[in-house]
Amino acid sequence: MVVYISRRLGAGVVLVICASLIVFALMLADSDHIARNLLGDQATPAMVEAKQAALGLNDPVIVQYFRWLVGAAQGNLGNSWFNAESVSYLLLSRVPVTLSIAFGTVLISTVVSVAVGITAALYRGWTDRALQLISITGLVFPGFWLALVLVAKFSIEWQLVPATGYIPIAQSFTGWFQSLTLPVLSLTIGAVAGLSQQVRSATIATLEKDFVRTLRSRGLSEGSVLFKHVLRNAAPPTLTVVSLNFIALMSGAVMIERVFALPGLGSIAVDATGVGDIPIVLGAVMISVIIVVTVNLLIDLFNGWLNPKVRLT
Amino acid sequence: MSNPAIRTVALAAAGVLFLGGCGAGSSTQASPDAPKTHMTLTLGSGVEPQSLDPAQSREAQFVQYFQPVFDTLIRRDAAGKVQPMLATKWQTSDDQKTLTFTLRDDVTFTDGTKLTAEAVKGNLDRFKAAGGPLAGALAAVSSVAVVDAKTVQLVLSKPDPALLYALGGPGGYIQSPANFDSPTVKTQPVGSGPYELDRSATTPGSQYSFTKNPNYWDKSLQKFDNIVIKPMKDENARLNALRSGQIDGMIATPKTVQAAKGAGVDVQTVPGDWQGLTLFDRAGQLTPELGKVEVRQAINYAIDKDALLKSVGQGMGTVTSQIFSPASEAYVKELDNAYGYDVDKAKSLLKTAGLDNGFTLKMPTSSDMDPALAPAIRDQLAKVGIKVEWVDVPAAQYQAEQQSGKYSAAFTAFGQPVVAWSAISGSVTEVAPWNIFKSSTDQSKTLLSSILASSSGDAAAKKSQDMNKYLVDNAWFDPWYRIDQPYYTSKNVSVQVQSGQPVPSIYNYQPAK
Repeated sequence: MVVYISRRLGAGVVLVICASLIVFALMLADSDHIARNLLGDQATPAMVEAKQAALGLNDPVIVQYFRWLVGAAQGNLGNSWFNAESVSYLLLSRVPVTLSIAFGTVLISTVVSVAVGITAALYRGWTDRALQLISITGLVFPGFWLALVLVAKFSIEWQLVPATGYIPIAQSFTGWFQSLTLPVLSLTIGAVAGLSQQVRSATIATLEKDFVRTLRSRGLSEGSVLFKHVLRNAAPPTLTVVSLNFIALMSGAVMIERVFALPGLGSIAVDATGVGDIPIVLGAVMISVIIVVTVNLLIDLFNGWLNPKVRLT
Repeated sequence: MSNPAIRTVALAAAGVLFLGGCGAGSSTQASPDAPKTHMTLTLGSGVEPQSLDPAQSREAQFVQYFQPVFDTLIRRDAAGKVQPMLATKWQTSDDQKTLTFTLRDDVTFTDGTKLTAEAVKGNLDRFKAAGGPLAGALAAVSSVAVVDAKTVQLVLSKPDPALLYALGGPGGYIQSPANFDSPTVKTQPVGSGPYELDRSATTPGSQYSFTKNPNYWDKSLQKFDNIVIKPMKDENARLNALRSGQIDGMIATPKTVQAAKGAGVDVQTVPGDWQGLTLFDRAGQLTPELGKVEVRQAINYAIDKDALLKSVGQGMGTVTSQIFSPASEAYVKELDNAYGYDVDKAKSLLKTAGLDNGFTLKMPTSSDMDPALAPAIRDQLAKVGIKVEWVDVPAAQYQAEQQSGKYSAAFTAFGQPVVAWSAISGSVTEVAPWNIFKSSTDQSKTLLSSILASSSGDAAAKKSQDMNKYLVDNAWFDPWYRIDQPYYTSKNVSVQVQSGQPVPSIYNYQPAK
């Protein structure tokens, strides 16, 4: 187990180096506009040239990359080029926002999907069809559209929750909960649609396995069959989808972050990529890789705990 | 599966969880972040500053982040006219090359440092040397001299009619000299302004909080206890925040005006950008056809400005053919109608230029442009035989591409400064950052010199109008319309819009009566 975890963490470090090198090369391949963007439209060519040199953009790519890598290895991700703040400060202040949205969405969508999926698998017939219809309807509505509708009702008309912004949990738990309610709800409905179908299919497939019939013939209660055996066997594909959902939410919630003016990782990464703020992009890549590796590792361990057949050696 | 207990539990769980998920917010009460008292002014901004160092500051929307902390040497009032602030009076020499400012003697920065002529000199020298985005605003200042503790003198290399206006904005922000070399100069500004940045309540990307400066010298400019500015790039997010009471003011575009009015939001407008094509290559270096004045005039006649204003600008604006604001001294009313929509005239001009078969014009486009714009321009110019080749560039690189020298013309949207020379020094002089191909003729040089040599405001205005007529006659630009820039406020505050600026200055807001 320790070897396995070490190997996965080692792979994460390699992934950070590879991903950052690729990102660095891609961004520098089109870096002519960076100094111009920084200085705005009133800057003269001489000022742009001076800024270019000051940022080190005239150095060879590999020199620039190693300069960043050495700093990163020492825990110094540098300063944003477009914002005077340190990259660590800017990104770490946004991690809680994104993690709150992602965890909230994954938690609620998983619980709802498991309940819906199991109900559909157990009942089949009209219940199954109705739940499928409701779930798939969730896919029809784009998250950002749903978000705008929810804001119009819950925030503007009924004034129940804030329309925009994020309140740190340390400042106010209630405020934090309220500020996340609509973003999480907007993302959850779409996530439930896909995940509940996965749970339903996996549960039906497992229920049809021979070992389930054997367990029933041995007189085990339906509860025991379902919760101790069927769900454990149906869990691996579901957990894979859950982890993919979580990873997608790390950067894929940009539209929701925009609609709710949430200072999350996705929006800062997109903004930084657009203007060429390389230190921020590289920092975001690093944090994303760390989160992705950690989530995958936890999911694998959880999977192994649930189902001894896939336990790691 | 036939156990009813299991079914019941599963169904109940599904129902409860669905309802739980859907009703997460329905049992809660109003957010603590929701309605504000009138004592805090909360603004939604479409931009966020790169730095709070005055030497790196910018104009337009950015001023709202700087004005709370920094007094300016002189202040622009709502009409855009310069008024005393840190300088109580100023005097310009007869040759327009020396400006002498007399400073207040009762001003202290929030770190306890006193305002002196030495501090002002330090700020101006630093602004010029730091190479910030607007360093060019003080380009004409060759030296700054301290006459005595409360008198500072600016010596210019040549007259600069836009200098006083610049000193009422970023060029005139005065910070504590003790902060010049501070490692936190970009994040923890220290000025003498009506408010101080509360760093502990500020989160970049989320909000900037300012609290009242208890020792401020002009209490009449402190109409709120606190100011909070929230960067919100999405206009719908800003409007939702305004409608739900989270913010009190926001910049907008014509697209949301109807929705805002329908929601009972206070909507005001101020003359905003002029939008149109800037025909950079007036000497025909890249596109020889553009070197002919008839071709540039033909482009002006070929565009149906009214139709564009209606479809792209939601009808909010005024059709024009000139680049100067009605508030500026260069404005000539008749020039608004210099080029009406006339396809036959455009064709005839192209024929005169020997271009019966038209030519190809390459211009950049980006996702930030209104999606209706590129096809409309392509179709309208195609009617007179000009084939437009749009080159798609990333939105964040659009401005850099425009100024790259790779294009003979581009769609541009420029602010309309109250002072004509600001527009001239931005787009017309040989060293102007938007005179990409350094266009210049004997006549344009003579006109520019005559403006600078004018001994009186009236004479300068006359010469500026002559310059305007020259630019229109020779079709250096193809302006379509100047938009009415909307600004929304809640019922909690009242505000006076700022001439020449898309957002009001901080001093223009006050609690609603």
